[in-house]
Amino acid sequence: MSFLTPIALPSLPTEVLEIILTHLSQPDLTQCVRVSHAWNKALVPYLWRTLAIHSRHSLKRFITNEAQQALRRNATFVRELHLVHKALYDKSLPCRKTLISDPGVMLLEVYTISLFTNLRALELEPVRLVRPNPEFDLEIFALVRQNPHLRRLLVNVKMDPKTLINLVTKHTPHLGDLDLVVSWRGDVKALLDCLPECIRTVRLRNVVHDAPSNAQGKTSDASDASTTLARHHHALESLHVAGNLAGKQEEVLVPFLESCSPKLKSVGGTGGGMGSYFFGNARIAKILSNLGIVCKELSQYTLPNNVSDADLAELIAANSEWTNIELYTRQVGPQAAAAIVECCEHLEALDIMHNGARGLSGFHLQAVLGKATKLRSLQAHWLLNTDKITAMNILSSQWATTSLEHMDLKIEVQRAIQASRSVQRQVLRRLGQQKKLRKLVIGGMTTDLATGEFVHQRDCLEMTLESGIDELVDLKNLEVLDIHHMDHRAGVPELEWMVANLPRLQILIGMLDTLRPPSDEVREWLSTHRPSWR
Amino acid sequence: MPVTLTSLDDVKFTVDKEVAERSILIKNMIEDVGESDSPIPLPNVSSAVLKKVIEYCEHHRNDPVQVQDETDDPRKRSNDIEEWDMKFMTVDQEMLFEIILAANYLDIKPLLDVGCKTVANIIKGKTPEEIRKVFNIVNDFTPEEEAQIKKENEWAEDR
Repeated sequence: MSFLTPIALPSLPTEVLEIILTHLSQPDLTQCVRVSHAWNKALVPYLWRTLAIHSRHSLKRFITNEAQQALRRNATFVRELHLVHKALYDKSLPCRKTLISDPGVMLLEVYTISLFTNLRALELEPVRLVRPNPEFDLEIFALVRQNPHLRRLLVNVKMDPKTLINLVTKHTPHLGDLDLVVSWRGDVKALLDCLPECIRTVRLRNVVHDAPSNAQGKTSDASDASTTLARHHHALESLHVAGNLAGKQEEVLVPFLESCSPKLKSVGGTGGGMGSYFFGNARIAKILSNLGIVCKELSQYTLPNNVSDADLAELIAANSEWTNIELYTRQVGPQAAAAIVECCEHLEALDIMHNGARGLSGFHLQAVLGKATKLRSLQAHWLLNTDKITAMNILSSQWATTSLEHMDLKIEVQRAIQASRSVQRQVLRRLGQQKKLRKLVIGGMTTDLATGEFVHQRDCLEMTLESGIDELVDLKNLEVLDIHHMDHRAGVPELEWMVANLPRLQILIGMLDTLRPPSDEVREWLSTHRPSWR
Repeated sequence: MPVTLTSLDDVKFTVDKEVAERSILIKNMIEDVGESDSPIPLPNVSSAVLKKVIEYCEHHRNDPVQVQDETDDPRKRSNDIEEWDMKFMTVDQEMLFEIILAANYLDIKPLLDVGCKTVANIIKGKTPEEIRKVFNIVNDFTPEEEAQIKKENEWAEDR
């Protein structure tokens, strides 16, 4: 350190200067480069590292003579290029003609952005959707070819499938991040299998798998022989695939996943309503489980359309850490039901709402209630038309959870027996112990077994003070109580009780659609005290 | 276990080994030399600066050692400098840069980071004229030259 000359920022060692620069934004740098010759010389290369012009405002300033001349001088510093405006590309980035001769690409003269040869990152985005333009494809192709150090590629322009595959597999040996935003139709398997070994993240946001069908295990071209060599995608950390794999997710994903290492931490790809391909398939789920990736949420959207009971059971059993099982409209047969009970220890939400579950009975729900210590939500609204959850199911064992917030299921309680009110009270006491309960739905039509018609529940809770509604006194968080289409006997005293004891109750449903018409008393009470309750 | 450090201008400072080893350079030198009483020469650091560096290391002697993270987000935030460090860094500019250079030489990453953040915070949000004022820099651009540079880089001004 000399005593005499003051230390100037531009003369700091590069590694130190770069640390300072990581805290400065590009706009900050535009001020810095005007400070002095020394500052200008040192900092212009850093200012020009990223060329990302997103607004018309910036674009206008970029197509000035001064900026264009500066571009020619400084293009060599550009490491990251976002091509957003085609106008930008056409009008203001100097091009030269080049010849493309590459296997798979016709011999063609194209204009390319000749200046950029140092790119590490390239983002291709249209402002408006651009129709597929083969020449534009080839220009991009040429641009990528002249930037062998490219590590990150985001493609949001329509591209010919073959061109894209050649692009990312043959000409970007250092590619670390591929983000394919635009909808792309092509051989997804080929795309994945040929990605460079050093790839770290892959995101295919909307692909449609379209490949000529091969004989089992054989590849179609002799020239693809090199791709049958096993590539180890040992650096892959994240894989997201969404779109339509035409039912071929095993064929497309399994070989690729088998080439990955435990560095793979994140997989997924919901979107476009097509769901994730990773956890809806038992074989794929198993491979992921071996890599340490465990799916916690099973939703009907992750399942193929006609999954059999045995397949569903296998899928559920492949993973014992489910926190959410939401099958809503899906059939749950006996094997799958048993699997749910087996794997429900970590379950927080179980949703088997819809009519059609055959094989999942009240006994299964009883078992889940006895095992799932973290259960917050249990929804089985239509489920138990035939196999109801009975008072006995509810009462026969302790519930493992005290965190229920949402319960939706019909409870069968014999009314004709002498002990009915005592049993009802006990059932309500059980419900009353779930102090976090916010939404309680025990109403809803049931099916007459003989006729198959929808009818009111008859063997149900009376919901009166004599039969134990006061056991719900601790449900201070209850916001919704639904007792519609039940033959309950709640009247004005019960309504008064609710107002006095359930301070948060905003929605009450079921006073006006009882088996017998509601009394005038009830109607009047409701209209004067709680018009929103019905 | 005390360790003696000798500055550029031959001033000796005795500090605890634990404090001295906040500097990876010194830590490695100690490991190479082994148990020895001879002072460690630091010919690149003047006594005034070394005093400040030691003050920092004493205050932070119990901090956990930072792990080198290769995948750090390059867009780091400048606003998380703790209060003591901020007061510590309120020095004249020459000292500020000297501390940064010393932290770089001695390989004391947290001190280097704080110093660099401090400099960045000084620069942020200022016009060229304001930057010149703060760093005592002579403007060696003609008005025409400066206007030209402004036009060349204006596209990058808004974010």
